[in-house]
Amino acid sequence: MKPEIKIFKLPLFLVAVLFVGMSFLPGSKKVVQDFSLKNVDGTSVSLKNYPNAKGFIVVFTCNHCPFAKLYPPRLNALNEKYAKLGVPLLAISSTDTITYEEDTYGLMVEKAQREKFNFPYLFDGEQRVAKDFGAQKTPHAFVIWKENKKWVVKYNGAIDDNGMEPEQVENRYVEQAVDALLAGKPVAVKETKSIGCQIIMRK
Amino acid sequence: MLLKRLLIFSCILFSHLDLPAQQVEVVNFKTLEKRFTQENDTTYIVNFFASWCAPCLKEIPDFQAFATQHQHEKMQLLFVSLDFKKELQTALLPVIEKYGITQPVFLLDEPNADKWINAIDRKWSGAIPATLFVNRKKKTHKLFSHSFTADTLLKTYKSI
Repeated sequence: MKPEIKIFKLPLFLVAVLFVGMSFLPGSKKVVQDFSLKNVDGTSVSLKNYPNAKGFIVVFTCNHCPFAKLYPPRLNALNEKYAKLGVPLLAISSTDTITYEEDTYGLMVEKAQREKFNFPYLFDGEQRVAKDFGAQKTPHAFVIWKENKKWVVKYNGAIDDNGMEPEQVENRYVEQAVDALLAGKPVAVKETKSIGCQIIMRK
Repeated sequence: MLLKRLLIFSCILFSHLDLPAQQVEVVNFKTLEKRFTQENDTTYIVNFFASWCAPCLKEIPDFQAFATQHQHEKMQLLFVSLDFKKELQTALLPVIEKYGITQPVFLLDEPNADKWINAIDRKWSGAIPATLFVNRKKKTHKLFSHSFTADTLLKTYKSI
């Protein structure tokens, strides 16, 4: 029986690889799946909990990373501005808690309270959501938009172009993307790069 | 009184200069790029790290040992720190001292990473640790966005 299983699995694997590869081709749409993750208040949060949301700002972040630490006030401001326009912000921590003890759930709860997060801070302990989004590092922001009942990635990358000096920011990439989408226009800058702490995937 | 203060101040100032401060060159991307894109047959291994990046620190001893073992070959190891410039003295220098880094260390002073990450590799997201292997003569330019061990470092170097 065993060899048969192997023969069957290989083509399936190839199809999976092709499929994943294709989703990153220019012009093709990357779709992400809904999820259910534990928030710092103990509740479970899913995209479907927000029936009126037009889109979401999803930020992969964490407690320990110095680049991520620069952004909480800006995340609060983003959620303050866009949640009422139908684009709430969700922060997700997918960092391996074996490598970084600082990123364990209990300490996430503490951080969210201390820094007065006005948005959900979700624990992706199994790293499934990070894998589905293709989140590489913290902070790594995504703007997703509802199209034909699917969640399509419209922007991914940096929150803005200056982590260290908020007052020197020239391009607010996430805001620009959300503003364009709310106005029914295409997103001009769809992807940016920034330094961050790698989300190390558990093998 | 003023003179005394000045003396103390200069003592503090120079005692800092005595540390491996000269070893760290604060550079913009253009300057840094010139350093590893010279037209020769040297293999440049450019390790991007930061004092705050735990997996980066973990691989430093392996890179150091590798560089010592291969110092007579056409190989140059460069450490590029992505630490915040204002934390050069407080965070980066202690790391250099702790690990006894003797290879050149650059601190890349570019607030907008989107401008230079693509110049290194379009597929790189900017996550560190990351290491670039360049050999202009062999037309090699490869970025690896993961950690290295002594073993994988040697294998990668030999494959260049």
